[in-house]
Amino acid sequence: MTDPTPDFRPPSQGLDAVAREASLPTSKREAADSRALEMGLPGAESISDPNIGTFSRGPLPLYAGIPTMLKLPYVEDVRQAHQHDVSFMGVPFDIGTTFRPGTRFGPQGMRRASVQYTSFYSFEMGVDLFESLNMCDLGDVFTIGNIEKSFDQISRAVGHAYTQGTFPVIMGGDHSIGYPCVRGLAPHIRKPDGSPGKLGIIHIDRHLDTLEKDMDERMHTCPWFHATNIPNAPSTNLVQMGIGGWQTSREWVKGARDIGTYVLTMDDIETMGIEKAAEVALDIAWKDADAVYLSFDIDSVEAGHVPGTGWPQPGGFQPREVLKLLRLIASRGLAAMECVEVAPCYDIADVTSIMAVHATMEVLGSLVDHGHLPAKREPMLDADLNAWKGT
Amino acid sequence: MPDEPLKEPLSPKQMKGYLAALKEETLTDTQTMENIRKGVELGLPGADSISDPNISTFSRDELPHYAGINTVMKTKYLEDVRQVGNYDVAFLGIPFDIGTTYRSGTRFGPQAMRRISALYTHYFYELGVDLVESVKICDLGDVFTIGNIEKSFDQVSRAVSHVYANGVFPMLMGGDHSLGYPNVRGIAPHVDGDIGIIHIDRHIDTQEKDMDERMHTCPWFHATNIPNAPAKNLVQVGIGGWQVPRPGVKVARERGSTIISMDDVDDHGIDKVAEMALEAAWKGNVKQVYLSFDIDSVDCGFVPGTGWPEPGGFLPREVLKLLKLVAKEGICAMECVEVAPAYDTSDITALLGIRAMLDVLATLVDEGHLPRQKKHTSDAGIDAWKGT
Repeated sequence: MTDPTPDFRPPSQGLDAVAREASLPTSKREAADSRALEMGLPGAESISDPNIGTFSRGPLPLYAGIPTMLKLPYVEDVRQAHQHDVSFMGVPFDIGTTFRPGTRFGPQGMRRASVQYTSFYSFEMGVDLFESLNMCDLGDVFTIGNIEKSFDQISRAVGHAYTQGTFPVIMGGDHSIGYPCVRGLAPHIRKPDGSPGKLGIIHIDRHLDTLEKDMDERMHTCPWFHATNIPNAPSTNLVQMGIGGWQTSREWVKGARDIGTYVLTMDDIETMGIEKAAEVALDIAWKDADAVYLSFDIDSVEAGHVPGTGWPQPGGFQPREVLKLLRLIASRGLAAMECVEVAPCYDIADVTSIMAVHATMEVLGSLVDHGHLPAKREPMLDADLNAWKGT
Repeated sequence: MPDEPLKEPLSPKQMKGYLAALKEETLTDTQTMENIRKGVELGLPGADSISDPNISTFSRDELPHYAGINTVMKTKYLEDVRQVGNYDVAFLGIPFDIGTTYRSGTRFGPQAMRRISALYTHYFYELGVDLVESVKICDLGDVFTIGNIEKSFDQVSRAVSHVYANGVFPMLMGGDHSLGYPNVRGIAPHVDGDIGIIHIDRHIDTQEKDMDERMHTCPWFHATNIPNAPAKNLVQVGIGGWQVPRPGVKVARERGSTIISMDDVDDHGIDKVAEMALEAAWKGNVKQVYLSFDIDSVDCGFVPGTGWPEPGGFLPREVLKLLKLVAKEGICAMECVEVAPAYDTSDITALLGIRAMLDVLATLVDEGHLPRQKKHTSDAGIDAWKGT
């Protein structure tokens, strides 16, 4: 039998991606390689590859080196954050947990797992984050054994990262930090003309997290009640995706009903499909808004994929679904993102941390792919880091 | 039963615990306060609701212990290794496990030791030593190891040589024990005289080759071929059990190294064994002694995270005492090898590894060996080991 269509090539994302890679630059990586060689001395004479140093100073070997996020530069002096487009920052915090604690080691787990992503390159999107962005690791917020004091520290830190003109990627920590993160950001959201702007929130989770208080404190079941009390972060622009199951307390639901958020259950999303769900969510979150905040709770993913979390629940997103959803949400731009509830001590072979890092990379990749990063936002170096006070 | 004569009750003021508490008062806190001040400057002052003015918004120093970037003890990561001469002590990781003959995974030894080192403060109670106040310490990151034992050895010797020739005390975090050879090889050309080796292990590690390569069963065969690292100054402490290969024993017999078994340690006690080991290691023209600590020398109940666990080894208090006694006389470098976190439970093996290194450092400081009054720098070049 002869081949009926010898010239026919089926549409293939894979083949397109292979072609697209050729258009990506390599100059920043080359500069980094040469700096690594300078800092870490040229390799021994028996090594034939001239790019290998004596001391490891770049991504390779993956198992070597100091575990900053993606082995990016650690910016010890946070006042220099404005030289970067993206700043990763950890919020090691678990005092807001109501069942299994351990999210204080979430940032450490994500940093450890991130070395597997130091190629910085997404094959499908054809994006090379290393070539497109200047990224840094700002280290961790100094959290305190007191929820409210920690919230103050976090709002200050997030406000700082944002007003430095960088895109903050916040690595939690339990979900109670959703509130202080939004609170730190909100005063600095601007309309294009510079006047105060409005912030929408897209919240991906199995849990509603809309209680006023839980066991007498603002625990990780409460962030959106308080975040949507912030004047320019109204509940009408809060979309909650993936909600459902047997861990949604009735009090939460009352909270959601009272404040009037938009809730999409896991069943809703399955019925309408990821693309439609993303479209609906974006329309609500962006309605008359000037920026959108993304809150990604790792426990929104099916428990089998994320054992390392405090409230695992079956029936959530499959990894491919949530990664697609995140890409679609990021395609319209974001002000900042958080990835919360990674608790490495219950994890197996770091799979939960890996999922969290991968999710973060997908968001960044999509932001670059759609031209939202590097952002054109100017640093506001004289901004008041306590502007959130009273909200 | 005859009445025991009444003994003079021990005064609480004779207790080492009390004396150590007194000693703490004599320690400075200038560097500690400077680090805190710098932390608040670089990490911004804390929120208004925090009453302690030493707390910053971003964590930049020791606290919180669960925050921050995991260098060793959260000390400075010295990216530019050419600046190492500005420090007294350099921690250096060697993520390497190609020399393992059973369970691999020591490539993550440095990472685990860095991670769990966040648990320690820089102050050691019993000796009354505050490392931050006494010595300048940096973390040099890791050697660039290669998927080839001999090439990795070259990289390792070059890296260790670089640190040592700059007059800095190397604290080497393995990696498997095959590294003992390239580590000693990197130091030897810079020692004016002979170098003795004190090797604490359950295994003899003196084969020429194992499965056709210089594996982690072989370091001391090759190290004692280095002209100024003679076998007569090699002391092996803690050896024994069912994992000592006969080919290595033959070599040990031929070369005449000193071997002290775990039973010997039991019979004579830690103090006596340390004395014997030091005497043999320092005998003759020896000018420096190298300390090789294999974590598997400790009873396997305490160190599940290693490649060749063996029951019947040292108990933690015993080995920590032995290490301190060896360090008292001064050493030129230390390696801590064979930590393999994948088999560990709650990082306890890495915890003991880093603890051993800190005890040695504190002893060196307490005995006046560190910081060095005059740095032993060397002009021999960092490739001077070639051909040895």
